[in-house]
Amino acid sequence: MNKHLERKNADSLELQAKECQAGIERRTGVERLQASLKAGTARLRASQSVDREQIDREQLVADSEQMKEDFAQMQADCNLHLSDEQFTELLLGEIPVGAQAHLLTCAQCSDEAERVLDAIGDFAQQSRLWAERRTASWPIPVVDRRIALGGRFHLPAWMLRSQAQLRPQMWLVAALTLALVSGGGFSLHRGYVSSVQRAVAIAPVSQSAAVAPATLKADNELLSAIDGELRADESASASQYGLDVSSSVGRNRTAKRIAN
Amino acid sequence: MIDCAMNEARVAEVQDPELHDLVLHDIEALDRVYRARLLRYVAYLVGDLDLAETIVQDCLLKAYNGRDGFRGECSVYTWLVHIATNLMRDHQRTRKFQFWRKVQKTGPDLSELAGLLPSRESSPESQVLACERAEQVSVVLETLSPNQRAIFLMRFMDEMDLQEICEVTGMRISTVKTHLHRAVKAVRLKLGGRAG
Repeated sequence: MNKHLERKNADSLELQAKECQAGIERRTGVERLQASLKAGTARLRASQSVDREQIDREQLVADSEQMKEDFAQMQADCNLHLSDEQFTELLLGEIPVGAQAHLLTCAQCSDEAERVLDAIGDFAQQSRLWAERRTASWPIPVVDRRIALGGRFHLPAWMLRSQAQLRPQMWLVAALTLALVSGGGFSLHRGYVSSVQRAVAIAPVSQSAAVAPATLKADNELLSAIDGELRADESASASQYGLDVSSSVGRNRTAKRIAN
Repeated sequence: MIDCAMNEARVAEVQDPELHDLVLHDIEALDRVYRARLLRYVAYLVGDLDLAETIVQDCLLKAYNGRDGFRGECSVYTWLVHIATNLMRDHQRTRKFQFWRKVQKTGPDLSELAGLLPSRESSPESQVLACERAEQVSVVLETLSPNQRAIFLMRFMDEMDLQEICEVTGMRISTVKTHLHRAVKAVRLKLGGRAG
């Protein structure tokens, strides 16, 4: 009986020992697994960091290449100056991005743009002043009030023309009128002169025909008497200065007249 | 009321449809607001002051008489420039115009305004330089083709948009830009710039 009890105790102790051994083995396995997991994780992390570094390195290289390209583009922009098209767009107010960056760095192009813009601005200002000054004394266009009041009455277009519009025609009409008046006056003057000349030419004939010989003789006597008096006065006044007036022009003229 | 409207119109470039009506229905307002701008535009294009004045008067009368036909799709000034452009074309077709253009050239003379520049340029030397620059631009304008000159004036003198210029001239926007580009290039060369 005792032996049977001892055997049972020994079996149970053996079972417990086996269980303890199995537990110990399981624990060591877990620990091993944990250790290996840690090692795997560490290796994984290590490999990941290597990848990141690689990726970062590649990214840096790409960025630097891009920066090099940008720098080269900027250098090219600085060296080439603005094209005509870019300049026109700049004057129109549409500033391209490249042109804006170029203007910041290129003094030559910015100076030229400023000079052209100033010149156009000065021209606009002066021409505006000129136009305002020129139109300050203009008359307001003449509009037929019947048209302005409702448009029921329509006049011919030529009647609606303003004074300024008719200026060339008015000058033409004025010139023609002046020519007509001056030409008519000249012709009237010529007619008058010719009539007077005719009258003068005809008058001696009619007078000579109408005057009687007795009247002519009396007139000649009167003229010779007057001539004698005048000659006496002339000789008296001329003798004071020691002059001889025996052959004076007046006497000859009178003699001629009497002979006629 | 009309005086007030005119002043507002000068400032606001007559963008308001109500002001359009006010200005268009009063010949005096129309004349005072637009005649100087129109004269500048037409005088530089035809190169003859008497003819330019005639065209401007005719344009204002035509606009006033045809004000019912204005639909308000553009500004009044754009509409007036369109009318003036058509009138100039009519005049330039006549042989009489071509003859007198050869005989005499009496375009705007900016030198008569040498002492009238406002105080943007402070010193007398600066004013003289400004006059010289403006005169150079004026000289260049005479060498441009009629289309280039018209588009240059519309863009830089009247500050019209490219779209408005297209409406007035009937050209495509690429054509307008080409004319502008050539005109600007000529001005740059005259002012001592380099052609790129």
